[in-house]
Amino acid sequence: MYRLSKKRVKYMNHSDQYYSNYKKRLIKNDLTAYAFLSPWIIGFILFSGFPILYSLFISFTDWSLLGSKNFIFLDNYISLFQSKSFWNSLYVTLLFSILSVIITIIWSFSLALLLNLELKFNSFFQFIYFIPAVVPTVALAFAFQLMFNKDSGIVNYLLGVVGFNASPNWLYDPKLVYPTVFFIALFTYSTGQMLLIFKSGLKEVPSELYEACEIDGANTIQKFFYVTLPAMSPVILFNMVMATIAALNNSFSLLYPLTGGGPNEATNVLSLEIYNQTFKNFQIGYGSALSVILFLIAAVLAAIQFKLSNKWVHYDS
Amino acid sequence: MKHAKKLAGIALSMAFLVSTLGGCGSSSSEQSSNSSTTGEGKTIKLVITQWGEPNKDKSLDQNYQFGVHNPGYELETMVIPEAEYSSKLNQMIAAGNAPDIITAWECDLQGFAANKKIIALDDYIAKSTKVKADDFIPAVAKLKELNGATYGLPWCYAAEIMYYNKDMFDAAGVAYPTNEWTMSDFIAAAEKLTKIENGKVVQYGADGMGFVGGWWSGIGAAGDEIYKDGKLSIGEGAKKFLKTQKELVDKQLIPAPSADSAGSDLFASGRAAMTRTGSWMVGTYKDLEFNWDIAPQPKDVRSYNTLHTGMYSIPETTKDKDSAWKAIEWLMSDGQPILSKGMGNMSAVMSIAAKGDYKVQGKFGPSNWSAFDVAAQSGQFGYVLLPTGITGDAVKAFEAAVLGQKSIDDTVKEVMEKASK
Repeated sequence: MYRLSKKRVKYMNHSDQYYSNYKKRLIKNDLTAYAFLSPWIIGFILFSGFPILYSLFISFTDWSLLGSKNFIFLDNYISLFQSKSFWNSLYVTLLFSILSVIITIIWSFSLALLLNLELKFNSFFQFIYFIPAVVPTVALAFAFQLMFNKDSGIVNYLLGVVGFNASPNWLYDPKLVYPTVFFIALFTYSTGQMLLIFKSGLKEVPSELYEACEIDGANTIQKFFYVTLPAMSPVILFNMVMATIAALNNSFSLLYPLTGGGPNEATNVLSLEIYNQTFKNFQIGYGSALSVILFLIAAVLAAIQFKLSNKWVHYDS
Repeated sequence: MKHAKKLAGIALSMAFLVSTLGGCGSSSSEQSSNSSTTGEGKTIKLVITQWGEPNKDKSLDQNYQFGVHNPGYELETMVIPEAEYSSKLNQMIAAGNAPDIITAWECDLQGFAANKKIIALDDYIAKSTKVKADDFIPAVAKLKELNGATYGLPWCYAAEIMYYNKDMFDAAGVAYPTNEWTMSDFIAAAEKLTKIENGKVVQYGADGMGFVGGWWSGIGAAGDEIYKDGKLSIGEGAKKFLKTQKELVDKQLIPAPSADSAGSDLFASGRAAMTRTGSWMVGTYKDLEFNWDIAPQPKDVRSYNTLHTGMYSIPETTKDKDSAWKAIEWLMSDGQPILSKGMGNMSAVMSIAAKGDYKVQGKFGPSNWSAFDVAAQSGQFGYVLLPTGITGDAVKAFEAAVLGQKSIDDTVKEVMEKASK
């Protein structure tokens, strides 16, 4: 319903009673809408909103789970900012998130482009590309941990068969751990999900644009940069934001079983540090302070992405 | 139509709200005391926590056997995965919904006792005819001193020992380890037992530290106290042990720490001649298809290894404490031989341990059961008294030092600084 002002109603020569009835109808409609929305709102308040606010409250205490909660103001945040471990985790988190987003976006987009070629057995290839994504991340991590074991892993065994006897310590060498982890991240659910979203997005790119390009003599690479990328930019933005959130939050389920934060804290992302402080050391207040920082980082990164998207995202409207 | 829409919206919201609140509510019969009566045949059901699966052979499942030997009682095992055991137990205790009996780890017992979340058992022990306070291994008395009272009774105990492949020793012409072996003997044997072919190690002298306790046993043997006045205490002993481990890794006598070191057992797979791990592995290794035996961990400045146990305790929230004590009393007396046989662990009750029920003989080993006695004598509750977060992080730092990723001196300093916070 259009929301008419009282002035407009009077202008239309309707009575005050009409306006009053009109307002009542508007309120009733709004309440009905909220009634339908309320399950989500209640769920959000109970399972997200309240825990977030409570966590913020706990971050100002020294609660260690069994004892009482003593208010210590900003002591947890001061300790946090003075801790070498925190700055290392922050650096690792940002580095891991940025690289993970770039690599997984490029990989899933490339696979989507390949699947868009409409070759024979396309469905089979899509099945093969997506299958690892349905394996739970933790199970995937344990499987790869076994595969990349230095002495008994199948990767080093196969390398030995082809004559490479060096037996790299894939997950315990700081120089190799990142490439190994990013390789494994390509098989996670979020990458598979991005692949499907990209594939759907590619189907929506108008074919007339490609035809017009061909008439103008554009080659494949030019068509990609001047038609495909701009048309896919909203989808890329969406996947970038989702990948960033996945890297910040879901990296725990990949890194905890895979590296436990090692070697030498090289993969000790903030979510792992939060887990260790909260559930291993029972420093609930300190862990909550770390969670608040992570929340702020996620919000800032998402905001930056949306702000920068004004420059490179093209919407049809 | 609009009216129907409104009603549907309200009904949906109310249904969601009710189900959410109902789901969030606590169930009085869920995890804590499950005493129930069934008419004249009164059955008291109790729940106990454990981190390993109960023995599939019911005759060796001590919790099940409690019910068999005590008509009218049932003891159900709540299995919590080992990796999350301490965390989960702390959460249940904090939330007030812990089961009737918990098998608390040593590192958690102090916190539970200090915060009055578990009850002292001294009164029960004083009245008991089956449990004698002076019949426990010495380390248990030390725990009582620490906590001011007896808050838990050790369900059994395990030590850390060394296992060796007799066939590999025979093939290399190396004398078997003795109960007097030192670190120098260990290193000398490892050098002779390591085989390298085409630049690749096909047989290691010893397996790496798959079990975290091995690091602490080595550090303790090198002279550090490990646990002092409630805090971690390491220094020169840790530096010495880490230096030794690094040399062993650099010479390829033991494998470098790697992912899944805990999961890959090079000793069991016949790729390492020795391994230093917990005595509970006797039960696992009894099915090995090569000749093997056991020996105490090599001595350094002193003999040292870490004792591991779990303490039967009664949470303060348990409704039927007398029944919970009855179960603990039985488990600590008549149930001990069953537990020892089932787990291959020694009883912490000296008179029961002397009967040797823990000696679970495999087809090809072991035979040197005196290794258990030596380990028990030199065993201490060291690192297990500290939070798992501190000791876990420390081991990761040790691994980095052994791999040359940071200096040993810096590692020990950082570990102590972190632990002191």
